[in-house]
Amino acid sequence: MVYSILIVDDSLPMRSVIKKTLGAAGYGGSEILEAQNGQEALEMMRHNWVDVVLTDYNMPVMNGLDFILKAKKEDLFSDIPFIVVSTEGNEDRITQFMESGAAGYVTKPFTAESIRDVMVPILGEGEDEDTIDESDDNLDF
Amino acid sequence: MKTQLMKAMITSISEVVETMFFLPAEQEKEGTVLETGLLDAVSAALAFTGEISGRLVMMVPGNLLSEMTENFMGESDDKLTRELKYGTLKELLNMVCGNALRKLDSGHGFDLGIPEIVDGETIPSELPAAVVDVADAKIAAVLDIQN
Repeated sequence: MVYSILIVDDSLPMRSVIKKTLGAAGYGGSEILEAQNGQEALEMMRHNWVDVVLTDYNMPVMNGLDFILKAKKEDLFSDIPFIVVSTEGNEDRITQFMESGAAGYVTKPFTAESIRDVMVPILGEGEDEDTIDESDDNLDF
Repeated sequence: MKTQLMKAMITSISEVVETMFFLPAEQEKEGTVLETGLLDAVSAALAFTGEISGRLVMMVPGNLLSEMTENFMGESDDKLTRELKYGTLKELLNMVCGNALRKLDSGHGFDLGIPEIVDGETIPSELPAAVVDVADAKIAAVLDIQN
């Protein structure tokens, strides 16, 4: 499936890895937008169509939690699903993310399957659409 | 708790290196920073606070860091700047530390700081370190516990 996906992470290597993993997860044809923090992401969302956001938590300027809370207050963005991709995986933190309006959570380290398992139901894709690219899943990122 | 954390760190190094960097990893030994022989490696540190507080330092030789960055980003070494390699080491550290602390977590969580590159020679040589074999090279994880 083709979407406009916004990746928000202050690490260029991690944005690159998420982009490649999305390709291996079957989202290779999607338009990928990138931002380094929540503030930059909000600005990008005001000028670009975004179907889904993948955001880190621990970022300078505006962290992932504040980003989701601010975005959810804006009518234009209220229906955009936010997926948190972070090393912060304790129960309290995940509850905090979900209560702020996040639609899903992926912990680092992740695989193409773990990304896809979270994205498919959120984006309303059919379970029978087996679009994962097995050949790219394990090697050659 | 300290012993549990060191074990969790070692397990996490294997999980992260194999999942995200596509390299085999196997623990070799535990000792001190001095005994790792990696004082001239590229090093990064990450502070954490919670039930137990301190910092984790990872030491990775330059050649291995280049290979890991190539695997991580899917780019050949000639396209990789030092900034990208340092960024990759910081991400490795972030994932290892977060993954290990999740294994110990009672649900209330730890707070992680921001990873930073540090001079390996400033790391106290008597601190406990675990050496992990990764693709015919070695990386070390050093625990510096404050409480």
